Amino acid sequence: MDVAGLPEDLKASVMAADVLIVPSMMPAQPKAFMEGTMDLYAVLKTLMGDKIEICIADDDYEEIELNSRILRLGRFCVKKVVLPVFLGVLSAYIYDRIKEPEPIEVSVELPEYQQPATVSFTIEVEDTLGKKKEFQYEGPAADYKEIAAEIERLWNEE
Amino acid sequence: MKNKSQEILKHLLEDGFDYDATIKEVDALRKGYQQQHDEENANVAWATLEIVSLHRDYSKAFEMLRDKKYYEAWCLLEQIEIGITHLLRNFSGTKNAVSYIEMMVRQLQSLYPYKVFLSTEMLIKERTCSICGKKRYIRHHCGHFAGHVYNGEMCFDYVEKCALEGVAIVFNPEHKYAVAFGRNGEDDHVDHYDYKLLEGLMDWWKDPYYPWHYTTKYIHKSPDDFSDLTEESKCPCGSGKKFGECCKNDPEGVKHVVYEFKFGLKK
Repeated sequence: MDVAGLPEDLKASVMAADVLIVPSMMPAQPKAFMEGTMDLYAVLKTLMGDKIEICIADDDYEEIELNSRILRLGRFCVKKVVLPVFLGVLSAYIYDRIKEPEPIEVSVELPEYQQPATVSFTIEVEDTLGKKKEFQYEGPAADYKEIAAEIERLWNEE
Repeated sequence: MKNKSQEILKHLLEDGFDYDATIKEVDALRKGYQQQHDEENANVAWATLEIVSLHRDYSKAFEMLRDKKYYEAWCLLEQIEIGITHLLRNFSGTKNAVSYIEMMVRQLQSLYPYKVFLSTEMLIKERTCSICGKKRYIRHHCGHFAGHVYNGEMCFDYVEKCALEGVAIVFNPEHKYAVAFGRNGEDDHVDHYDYKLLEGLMDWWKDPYYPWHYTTKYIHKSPDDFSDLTEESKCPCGSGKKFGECCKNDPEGVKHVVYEFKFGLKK
């Protein structure tokens, strides 16, 4: 992890974090975070304790709002030991952010803006032995629980 | 406040229900509870206010559709959709009070011809909390979350500094009001959309609380049924392709969608 641009007092806690939120890396705004990251960070802090960090100084924090209907959670570096808890907290957060109305008549072809909500995220998992895997997902938010289980299964696969 | 709320909701669908007077009355109660820091009752008052406002707006949207004010109705329907989302996010137990209009709003939206929207991309640099007025910092959260209700008040962000990064054309916008319209000249706004489905519906639908639903099916028609059709025309099947590259070569004919409306409760 490149922490060169961070203030000295932040570097240590960023390096020691169990869950680290990293910037979007979008070409136009590589240092910005996805819309809602501030709330997600607060939720993670409340439910997972102090070992959550975000790779930015307070005064430099900015969010990018891309106003299509996708819940973009952003990019996370997660230590294996907290992966199950992290995936559970993410599930609660997604559930709170996306309250889907009841689907209407299924035989009807719905416009794109009425399709089920989509979520996207990238999770890089690392254990103490240096094993690393990266998981990217963009798809129906309703499938998140299955995806979370699949991430754990794929991690355990050699 | 709970008893008062139940009493109001019991009469909500009666003929002659005075939405505006009820909203005024409940809002006064809400403010009173807020001053007393009675959060529980202030929140119940907020939810009651929302429900009554949603039903009032739904009736207004119905009137707008009858008056053929389609875009105005579209914007109001979106406001209702957002209002329902906020209500259910905070008070999921109120679902029954709005489930009918939630379903009808979605059905109405799906009958609109709007498919393409404009969407802004904003870089948010600084914002404050609407509840406590504090500047939001990533590591010093005030504890109020946008979209949640505190002491009878919805929390949202005031954006103090931002930059417009771009405008994108999207099919699934966060903000549905940004419909793409054409222009004839500098200020001449043109509504070029075809509202036939809604027009047809409104010929028959006389009461916003009389339910309907619809299904669609595809049939095939002869190209001769479309008199102005050329190779370059947009294909009538709705694929978005040119006719020459789409249904022209289909031996069954031009694919055509048929809407069937049924009035009354779905069986």
